[in-house]
Amino acid sequence: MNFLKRAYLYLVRKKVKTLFLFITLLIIATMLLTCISIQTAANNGVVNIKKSLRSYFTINAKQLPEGLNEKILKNILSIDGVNGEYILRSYTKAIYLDNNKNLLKIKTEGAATIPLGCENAGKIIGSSNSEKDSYFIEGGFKVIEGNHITLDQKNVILLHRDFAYKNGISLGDTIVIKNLENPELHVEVIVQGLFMNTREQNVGMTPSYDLYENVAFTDIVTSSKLIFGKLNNVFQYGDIYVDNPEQLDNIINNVEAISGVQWEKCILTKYDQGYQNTKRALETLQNIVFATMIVVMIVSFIILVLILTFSVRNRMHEIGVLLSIGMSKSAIVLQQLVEIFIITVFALVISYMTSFLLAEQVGNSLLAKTTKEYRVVEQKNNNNAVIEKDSELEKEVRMSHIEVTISELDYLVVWIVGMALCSITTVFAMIPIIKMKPKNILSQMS
Amino acid sequence: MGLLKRAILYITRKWKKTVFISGILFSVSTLVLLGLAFLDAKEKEVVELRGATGVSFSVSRNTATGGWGSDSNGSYSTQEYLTKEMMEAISAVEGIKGYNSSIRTILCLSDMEGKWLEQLQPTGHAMVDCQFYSYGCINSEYDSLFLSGALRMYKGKAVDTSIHNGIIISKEIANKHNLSIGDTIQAINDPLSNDKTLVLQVVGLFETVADKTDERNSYNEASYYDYANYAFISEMAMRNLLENYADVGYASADFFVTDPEQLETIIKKVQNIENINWKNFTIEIKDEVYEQVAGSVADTDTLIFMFILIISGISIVIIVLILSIWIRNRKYEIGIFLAIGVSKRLILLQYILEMILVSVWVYPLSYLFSLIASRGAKSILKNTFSSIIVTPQHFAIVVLTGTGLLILATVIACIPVIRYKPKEILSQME
Repeated sequence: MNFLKRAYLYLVRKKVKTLFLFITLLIIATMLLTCISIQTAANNGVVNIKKSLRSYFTINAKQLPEGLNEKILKNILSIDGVNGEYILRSYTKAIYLDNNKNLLKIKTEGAATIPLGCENAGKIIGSSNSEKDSYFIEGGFKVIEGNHITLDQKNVILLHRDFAYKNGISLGDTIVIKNLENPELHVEVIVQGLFMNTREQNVGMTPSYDLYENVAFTDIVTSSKLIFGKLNNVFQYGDIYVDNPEQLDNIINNVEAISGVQWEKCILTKYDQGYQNTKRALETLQNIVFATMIVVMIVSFIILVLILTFSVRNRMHEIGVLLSIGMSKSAIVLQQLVEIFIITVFALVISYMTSFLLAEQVGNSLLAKTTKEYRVVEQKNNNNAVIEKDSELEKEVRMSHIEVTISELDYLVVWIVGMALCSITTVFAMIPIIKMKPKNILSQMS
Repeated sequence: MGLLKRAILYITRKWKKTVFISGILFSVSTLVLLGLAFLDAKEKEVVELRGATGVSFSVSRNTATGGWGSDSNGSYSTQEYLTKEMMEAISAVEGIKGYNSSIRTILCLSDMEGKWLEQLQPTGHAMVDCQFYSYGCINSEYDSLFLSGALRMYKGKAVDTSIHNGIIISKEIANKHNLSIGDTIQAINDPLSNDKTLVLQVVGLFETVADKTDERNSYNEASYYDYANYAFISEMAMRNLLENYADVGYASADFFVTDPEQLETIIKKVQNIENINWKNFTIEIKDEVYEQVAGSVADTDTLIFMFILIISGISIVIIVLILSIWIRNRKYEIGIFLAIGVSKRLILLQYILEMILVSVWVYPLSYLFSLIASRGAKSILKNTFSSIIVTPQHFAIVVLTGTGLLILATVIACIPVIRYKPKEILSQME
């Protein structure tokens, strides 16, 4: 009878022992696989948190007479780690005219000065995303009619409600904005929105063009024409968003390596306060995941070694008998190895399914949690405090971007480690028994 | 032979088996102990993480419901201002970690001899060059310029209500005029009027991080000043400096919460404060950063929770499984006991006793080991691991549930064996 057949017979006849070993191995393999997949997912979660902190850097190229252009932007966006989201900005002053080239009236009350040539001029902000402009984010501006300006728009403008009323302008009307120094540079724009300020302006030293009522927002194509006389997108400032705030320095270095731009005249600033504030907590969370992983590994290892050693040691008597009937030591070791291999292979194959099911459960619980995430801020009726909140954020359906899956690589690692560990432990557990004489073994038995 | 003696004899004579079971028990209880400590630490960090997103709400006077006046500068709101008492009442609501409100003005600063302090890059006009854009702060730490990272404290401390005559100036201005922390300077709102001149002590220096030349920062009058020419002074001092002006007040205040998840509850409580006429004020929630990260934070939170839950669950299954097998292996022994007339209850009791005798040693050892392990991790990973603490409560949970499970596993494993007649058991044996 060769060792293969004997191994097979042992497994089949000692059903309970086989089943026990199989279940234990299955549980350990499942635990390891699930752990690896959840650990990967949890780390992805931390990566997502970093991503959602929306760190960015700003290029201030105001000092470059030629500005920055689309080609440079394309180069910047191709840098690794830049996530493709960006805001382009330009600032200037321009004279307001109606579509018959008549000058429009600006607000002058409260202005500290009305500089020469600015009697009908206001500050123009060219933005690829007016919603994110500091006037709206920090200054308390609010669009009350029409829409914000987005990236792909051209020849549109947002005006202050009071300025529009004063000049009899309404949504959809066309006005002209003209460069202060170069009258050749003028653009016809359609009024696509009206805004108002919700906070009072501290006047006193504010020149006329900076008064809230005289400020206007336009798209980046228009500001490019107005400032640079160029038809393609030329801009003064770019806010470039990155996925991982840790890479900001690196990315900025790469930006400064782009040729054809006098970077020494530009100011590059990183904005990652959100990340700086959360850095420590994020690191700890990652460490917790890592430490759990290590503990699980060590504990699985100990349990595995203990169980295998014990099951081999329990067969001392059998080994003694086999030795005494003249079986070679290698055949005995091989038989045990084959047995363990067979059980391990089955356990590993099935563990893929069990851990897949577990991972799926975890994934579902994530979805369940995110759908509960809605924050509802009710308007209180018993008193009149008004709660204002960005309504779009509330509407946004938050979907979990984390998948809990078992990657092929992880599965392979568990296979290799599992098989290696099982065979090494078996061999080590057998060494002291094999070394003994059969007589000693058999006389030792109780 | 007594029950206890038999149990002790069994675990000492079968010491290899005892070591095996102890080893597994030890591993699992250590894992669960550390798991519990990790869970607590995770909870703490997640709360901190959410809090670090700087969620706040601002209470502002509602210009829409108030009256309007007008002067040469145009129209202005006559709505009531926030008072210090109102702000204190709001900040007393549980869950608010701090608040700030500021009164802004342009102050002229001079040294103790009355010589004007010049701005960083003077224009040559004496009356303009001594002007500093100043915030009278309740707590400068919570000023948006510091929170957004545009400015950073370089030395000294922030001004809050505990400091009556403090001022924070920029590092550059301090260098230019040889000022350091503890030095005193003088401030006046309008030197051409009969405004009060006040002596202020430099309590802190800030440095500039953001790019002030970026025109994004030019949305209000502060844009006409370089960050270096900013100053932050105690609110008490600011009130004294501006005592000649009737229309000075807090138009809005920002309140920062510890845990954004509590925001709604906090706001509800705030709205129930009686001495504030909420018709005159609006509440605006500022939680953009939190809104952005809330989803991923919740995901990560759930994942770590599930992670620890699953491994604890699985390891408990392993221990129950091993115990049942262990007892099944003693079928023959049970048969003999039954045959010599030992009662079933006594057999069960002996096994339970054995388990308890083994685990009594294991639990304290694993507690000790977890303590050492968590301290070890702490010293290796320095400050990031300070929150992981294995507490006596964790130990109690492990001991109680552990013992419960062991007894349960022993009983469940014994039942199928004990059901049989001794003859049946013994004849089943090979």
